[in-house]
Amino acid sequence: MGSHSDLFSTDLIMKLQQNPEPPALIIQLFRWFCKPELVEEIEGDLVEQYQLNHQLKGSFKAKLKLLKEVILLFRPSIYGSLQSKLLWVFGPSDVQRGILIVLFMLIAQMLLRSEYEHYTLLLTSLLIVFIDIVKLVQIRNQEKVQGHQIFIERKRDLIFKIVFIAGFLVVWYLLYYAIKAWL
Amino acid sequence: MSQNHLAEFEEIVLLTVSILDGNAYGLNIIEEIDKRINRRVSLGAIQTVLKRLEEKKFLKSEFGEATKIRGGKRKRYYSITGEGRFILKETKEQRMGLWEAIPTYSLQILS
Repeated sequence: MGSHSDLFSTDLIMKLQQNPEPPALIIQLFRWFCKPELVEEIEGDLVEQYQLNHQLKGSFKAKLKLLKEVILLFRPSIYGSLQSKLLWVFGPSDVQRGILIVLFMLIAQMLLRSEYEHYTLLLTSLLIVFIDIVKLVQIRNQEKVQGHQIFIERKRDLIFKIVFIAGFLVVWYLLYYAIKAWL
Repeated sequence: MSQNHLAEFEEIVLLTVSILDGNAYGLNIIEEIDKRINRRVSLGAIQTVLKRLEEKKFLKSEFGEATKIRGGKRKRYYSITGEGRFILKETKEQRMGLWEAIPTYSLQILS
């Protein structure tokens, strides 16, 4: 039987009694997307795994591994309905931006699972920008009737997205290779 | 996947829960799989399969004790049901039947 006493040495169990706290932000992110009925069980596993990694590999690696596990937990059977969560966070008028963040979490998860999927990040980024440009052109065509305000807001939104995506790509690749080198 | 068949990973999880015999919870199952077949799986993958097997009535679960190491959160212990044992036995027989059906010379090439 694989009880705790079999898996971990007495020294390690004594060290685990010190209970280092996992980063609150990562746990909050997990609590946000996880179905309420699954939170207690999975959070307990995450905390236990974090504390074990903290003792075996140090604080930094334990935090990275916790973040990786939380990203890999982002799947339909765990998060349930995303629509209500997005509305709760972003409000009904800004769900699109929320969907963008969720999309990037899914892509990040895909990249963590496989090393051969880098092109999907670039393609999806380009697709998001393309969809927004199409919408921008549609709004510009309606501009004569509706006035300039919507077009200006949409343009600002598009610029925000392009900067966000470019920044994300740079930060992601830097972090990805740093984490790969570290682990 | 059909309700009456097990996917490869579902079979591994079901077997591991049987091995752990009443002491199977998320993290423990991951450690056991890693120890026995040298396959590291994420909590997300394990949780998804555990919930699916529970929906198929091959597993049942109940909350256990809360511990300090888990930040006061309770463990959920999984155990195999009669239907789970039946499907494992059936899967094993199917596999054995397939192995026995392989011509002898093919097995020599495999080894």
